[in-house]
Amino acid sequence: MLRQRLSLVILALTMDPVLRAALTSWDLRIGLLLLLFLLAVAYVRGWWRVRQRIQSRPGGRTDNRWQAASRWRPLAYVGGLFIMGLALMSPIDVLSGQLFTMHMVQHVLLVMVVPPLLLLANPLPFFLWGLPKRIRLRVAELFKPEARFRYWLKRTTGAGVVWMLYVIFYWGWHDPNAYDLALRNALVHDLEHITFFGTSLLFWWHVIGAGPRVHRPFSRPARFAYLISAIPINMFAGIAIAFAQEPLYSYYEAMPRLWGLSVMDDQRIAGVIMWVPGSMMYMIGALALVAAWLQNESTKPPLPESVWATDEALMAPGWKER
Amino acid sequence: MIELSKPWRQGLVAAALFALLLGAVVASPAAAHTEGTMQVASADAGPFKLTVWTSPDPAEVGEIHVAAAVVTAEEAAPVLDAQVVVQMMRADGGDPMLVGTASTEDSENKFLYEAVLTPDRAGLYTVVVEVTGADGATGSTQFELEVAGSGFNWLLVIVPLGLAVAGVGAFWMWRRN
Repeated sequence: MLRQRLSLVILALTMDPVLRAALTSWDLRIGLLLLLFLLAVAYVRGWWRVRQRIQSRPGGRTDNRWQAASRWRPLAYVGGLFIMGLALMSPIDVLSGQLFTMHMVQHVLLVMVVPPLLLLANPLPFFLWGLPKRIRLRVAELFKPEARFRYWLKRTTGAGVVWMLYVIFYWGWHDPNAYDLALRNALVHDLEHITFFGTSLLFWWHVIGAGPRVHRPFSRPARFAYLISAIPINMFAGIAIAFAQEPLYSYYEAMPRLWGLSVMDDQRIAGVIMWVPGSMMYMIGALALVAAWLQNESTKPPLPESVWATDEALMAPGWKER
Repeated sequence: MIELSKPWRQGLVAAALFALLLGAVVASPAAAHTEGTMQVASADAGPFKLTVWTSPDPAEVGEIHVAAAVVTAEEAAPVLDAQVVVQMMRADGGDPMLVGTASTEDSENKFLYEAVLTPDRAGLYTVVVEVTGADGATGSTQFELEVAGSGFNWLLVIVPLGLAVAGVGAFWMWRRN
């Protein structure tokens, strides 16, 4: 059964020249591959060292820090780097100049999938533990309470500032002139991706609360509200693109059409991808926050019977005589 | 011969590696979108429509990449089994013509045909892109391209050198503190 399916896939790949051309369009960049590899190695090395240190201590496995260095973290981190590599070097990237839909998939991955995956792994402390001791201590000094770097980082990356930057870059780059310029000029295109990725990293940093923890941590309801506040930004832009009555980005009009997709159909699909799966990423994040919140409530110790079994409490639960 | 202590040697190696890595990362995206500057957009060419890009911009003596997207005139569907020939001749008719066969194999984007031509003189050139379909149908388009004299790209020296100097300087300050 599996063999039959595989042979069907291989047959489709070899028979359909358009599909074959799409799947073989890769742009493997040595510099980027090397950077992603080094980032992965530094993190995994640090994570391994932290785990070894915790394990070697008495009662190490019951320590809270053992949980902080759990196995899913490097998986999330390496998964994030892998998806970043796919977004920047696979046919998703190569065909993004040809299909607006593909470009939108690339943006959704870079803005809504890669940053939360990387930050869930809490990369900074593990990355530091992956470095030689002298460098680690030097870098750690930057984040001491009295350090100037920490002061300026805190001043320039407040939640409000980050939210505004996120909105400005997200909407600003979808302006037809800016977007067309990015498609025509590789350096502007890279600047677009860097600003998208950078601001979304900062946005998710506040939501997830990964290190360095220079800001006062958000309460769970505040995190939820902050995350949900990104949905309208994304939704309005997606709806505007999906329901536009004419092609917004002239660059795509000159490109060969694939799979019979007209410029308008391509634009509509791109708008819907931004609107629905894009917003869903924030919804999934919000639901995960609620789940973590409820989980935390359920693990709290029960109230002693002397508190809840009084006559007053049984008449009106939650009521206390003052 | 200057004898460097071990931390200095390690620092210099780290700075050099960092400079190389940063240079590679900065340089690689610039080369990522090889289509270059659009010279012709959806030009009618018999039963086809052609869009042609050249790089680098501005065109210089040496290697010039010509990329062409060939689509059907009716549905704008990609044509992937055509023969594409690029000719480049001086507009004043002076030099011998340069001819190159464009192929999808030479392009990162397999929907584009790419050829590399190497003019050795500056001046105004006429570039002709000829397409022959699998059924023998032909079409062509042409445009003029100003080719400048070869200039040395000082950025290739300045950027890595600057990064290396900055790395060594940062390491020196670190050691000093």
